[in-house]
Amino acid sequence: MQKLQEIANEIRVDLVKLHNRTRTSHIGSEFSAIDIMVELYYNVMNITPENFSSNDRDYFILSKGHAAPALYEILYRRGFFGREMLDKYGEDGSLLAEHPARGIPGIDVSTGSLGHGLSIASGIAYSLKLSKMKGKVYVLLSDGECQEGSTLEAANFAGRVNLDNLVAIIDNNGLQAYDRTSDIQPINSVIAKFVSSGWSYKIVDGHDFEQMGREFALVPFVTDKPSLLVANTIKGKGIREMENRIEWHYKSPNDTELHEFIKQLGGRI
Amino acid sequence: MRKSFAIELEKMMEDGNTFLLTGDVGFSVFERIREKFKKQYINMGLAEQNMLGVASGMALTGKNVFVYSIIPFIVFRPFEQLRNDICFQNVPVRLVGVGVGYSYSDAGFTHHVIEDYGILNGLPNLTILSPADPLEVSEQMRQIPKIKGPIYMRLSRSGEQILHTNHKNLKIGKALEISRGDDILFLTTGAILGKAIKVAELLEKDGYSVSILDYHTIKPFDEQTLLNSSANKRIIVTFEEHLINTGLYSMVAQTLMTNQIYVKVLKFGITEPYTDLSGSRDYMLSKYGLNDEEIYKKIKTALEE
Repeated sequence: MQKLQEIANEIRVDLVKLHNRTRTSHIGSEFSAIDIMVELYYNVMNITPENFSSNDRDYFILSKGHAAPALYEILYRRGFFGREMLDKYGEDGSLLAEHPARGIPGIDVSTGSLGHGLSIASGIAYSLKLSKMKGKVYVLLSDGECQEGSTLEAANFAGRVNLDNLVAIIDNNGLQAYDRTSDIQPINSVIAKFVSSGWSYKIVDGHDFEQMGREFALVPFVTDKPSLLVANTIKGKGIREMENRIEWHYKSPNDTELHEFIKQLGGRI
Repeated sequence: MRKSFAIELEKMMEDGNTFLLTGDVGFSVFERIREKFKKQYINMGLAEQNMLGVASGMALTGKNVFVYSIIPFIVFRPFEQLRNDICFQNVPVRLVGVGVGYSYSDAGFTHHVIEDYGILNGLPNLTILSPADPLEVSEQMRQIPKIKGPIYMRLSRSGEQILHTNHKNLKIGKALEISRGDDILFLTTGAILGKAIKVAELLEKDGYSVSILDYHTIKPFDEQTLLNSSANKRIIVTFEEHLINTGLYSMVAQTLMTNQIYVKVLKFGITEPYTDLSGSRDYMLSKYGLNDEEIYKKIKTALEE
């Protein structure tokens, strides 16, 4: 199999082109989350176009819906839909919007408003347990969305009913839309709230596939507890000009940047 | 009404796949269910946004989920979860709210519900049920499994009186004819049907005959029955314990106007919310002129004009 690092790199190249073409936002948030999602879809989760219509599988919810294009790139590569559909992103009448919607092949849950994903994920995880299904539910949260009260309501519920089949991953890139996340609610405060609600947790480098693979294999981290994986990441990871820069929450690469960024990623136009 | 709901729900829960999530309410209503179906009853606590999200996730994976609370906490507080997680995704969650209109009149403005279907009419895929009496609740509960999308059922807190004998003809989505007459058409939704029936009796003593249509389903709105029944009526009257603006009156007026039917329409409902008043339900309604005698007089005057 192709190395995960190479796949993630290929997707970054594609996303630079996609955002240059469509002039849409959130490339920075996609680049912090892409390695986590590649690891999950290629190495961890049991979700395929073949088993998607059954409940006997894993579930993935992109609670930070604004990273949807990165997820679309993965779903296309995993055979959920064709290149033609992916290439319609950003065009009139496309099913693929800047936030993902139920109805797109491979998408279980519509997201885009932050603070919804963990509740829905908990409902699915609870339901699977009631039906004695073996699948796990993975939900990718942004660090900023842990400021939403509903996220904490969900954390409390998941801990209370022992959802050991639930895995929440926080894409801890440290930047939200208009400030450093640490200036608003530091990650330690988030971890403390989850832990006091009955979660177990681990911290990993969200760009290190081997480390992530090791930790995902250990889920649940503690018997009977939901698992929180804090993935330390860099917003805009992979492009020097983009890394840790708040403006790349919004900007899209212009034509000069397109060439420069693809060169940095070792790709081709 | 709450008791009828609980009785029907208990029967449904025998299937092992029907769940009741509550927002820490239901004292004296759910004791039997709580005892009998320990795994299917969950007090979700004071966390309504999460309650609706969890309900969505459970229903997405095949569970039949009822969510119950007092209306403000199930509609207003978690509105975005209702919009995105349930209605937009067309997930068959069944929301049941208690406290229509001034059911909780003396609890003050936070507990008054005079704008719920006005707001919810804008949501995609949602069926809105507004039963008038306990037997309508039971009948609707029996039909709910046939509906594939999300449902919101609004209940009075009290209003246990049985108002008519035509329940076997109730069909979700279709207005129910309570009486048929030639001169006047009454359209009502919810327990205020009781007032409409009394006012109709007064008018009939004066020699007028009155049709009454019970809109126990607000959405989808049954335009056809209204159009069929409005022909040759001298006057149409709407009754609701809800804001007139965005209410049943608005839907009726819009339907008539769109179909170029020009009839005099009288409207009885809440005109604008008092934020500083509380008292009994009858007191609150009387502030808006919603008592039998006053309604009767206004209709008489309009007929004589």
